[in-house]
Amino acid sequence: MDDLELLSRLRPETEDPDPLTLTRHRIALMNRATDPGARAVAWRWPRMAGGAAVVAGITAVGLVVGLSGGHEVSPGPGAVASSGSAPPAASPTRAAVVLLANAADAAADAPAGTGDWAYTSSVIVMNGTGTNTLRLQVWEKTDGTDSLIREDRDGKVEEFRTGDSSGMFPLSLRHPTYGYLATLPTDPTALRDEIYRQAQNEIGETEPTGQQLYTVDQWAFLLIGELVRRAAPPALKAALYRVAATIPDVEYVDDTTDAAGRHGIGVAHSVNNGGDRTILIFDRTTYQVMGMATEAHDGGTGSEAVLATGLVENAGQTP
Amino acid sequence: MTALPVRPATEAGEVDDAAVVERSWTDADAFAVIFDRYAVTVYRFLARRVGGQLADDLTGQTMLVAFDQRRRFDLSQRSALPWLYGIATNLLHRHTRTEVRRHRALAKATADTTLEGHDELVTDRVTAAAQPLGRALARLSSTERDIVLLVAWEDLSYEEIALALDIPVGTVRSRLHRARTKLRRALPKEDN
Repeated sequence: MDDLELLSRLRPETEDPDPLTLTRHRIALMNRATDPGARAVAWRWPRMAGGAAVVAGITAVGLVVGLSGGHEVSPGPGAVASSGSAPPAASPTRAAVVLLANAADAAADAPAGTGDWAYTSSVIVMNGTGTNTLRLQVWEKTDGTDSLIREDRDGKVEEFRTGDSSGMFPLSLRHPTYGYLATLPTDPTALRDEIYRQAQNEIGETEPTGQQLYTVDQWAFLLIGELVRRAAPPALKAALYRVAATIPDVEYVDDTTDAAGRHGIGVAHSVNNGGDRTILIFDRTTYQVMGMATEAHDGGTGSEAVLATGLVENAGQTP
Repeated sequence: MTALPVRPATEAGEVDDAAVVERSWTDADAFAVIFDRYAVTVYRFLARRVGGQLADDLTGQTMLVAFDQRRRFDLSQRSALPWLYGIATNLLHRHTRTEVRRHRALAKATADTTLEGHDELVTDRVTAAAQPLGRALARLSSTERDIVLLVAWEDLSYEEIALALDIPVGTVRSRLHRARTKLRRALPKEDN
């Protein structure tokens, strides 16, 4: 037996880590993944994707769960206006439905572009502990086999090529590719069924707490909000808005500002039972989607302005 | 971890760590896969070095640092484990005193444990070596100790250690050699 052998035999026995402690660490990690202060690309933030948002919901919900749904949300600093001003139609919901119908018509008429690359250009502003602004351009192969990401943080530009990560997640509304989106039904009833089916499944996966944290309507609204801000077939986007119009409790917002500082009108919905609310923002005259803003229960806001989406021939090319 | 979304096992099992880390560049949630794969291993490593209580905290810190530094992960490496060992090792350096105290106490710890499956001679020799080895371990430089324990307790290859500690393989060899010379000198005669 040499010194190394002796030493290996002296290896201390360890207990397995306490599962509760590990869970706490995992929650901290997933919170970091949505933390605007992290040196992270949070390009789909605010969002619901996976553990991050769910977990943020869990921590947020600790205090609020069980209270009634009528949680009053105050407007965030500059990013989002409240729905206090008088809507033009009879009820906030009715006005939201009208706006979504107009948005559907506008989306159906928007050009799709041509090519194998789905392009999205956006500006993301996050106000949490500080304000972070990220300008992001993403080109994703329509089959998901490659992506080019260009980030601009206050003039510091970085580019990444991700290569093929298409096998990472099964294709779904939460992890779509343009190609996948093109296979979805554009009949609003069929599409609604699919969205609610997936939403229900995902909430089910967050058991035992998922149902406390989210309603399927909230989850569906978030899924739709994600999808209309990416490149997607125009007919699908139109159908997504028509489905959104059927979600109970959508609310019209008469004046709001997107992450690029542009004024618009919006459709708001709560996104969890912890008091967070999201507004999908539209241009007042063209009804084109301008972006999305989230007001967190703790006064933090996040907003994302969509500057351009569509198909292009090559990575790096803009429509 | 029942409160968290479950990723189907096949989904996580199919891709290597490099693909997961790269995915996490754009989809931060993907990093949960790295956590799920290695948190326990990292915890055990840390617990062997500084005990369970401190290992609890350091495991969380290791994962957060890894997340923040995921852009620096060398994507040509299939496994993220050496990289995580490296991060954990760096964090351990803030707790050298705790670690050294533990190594000094190695002798006592072994006396409490029965070494099953070994004949008496082996058991005797291990027991006899415990105290001098523990002391010698405590006297090594941090890097020497890191290397020798990554070999003896974690079964890492020289190449993996080089990756973990971000030093050339040649340096791993030479430092390991130096460390082992010191350990051998501390041992009772028959083990030399």
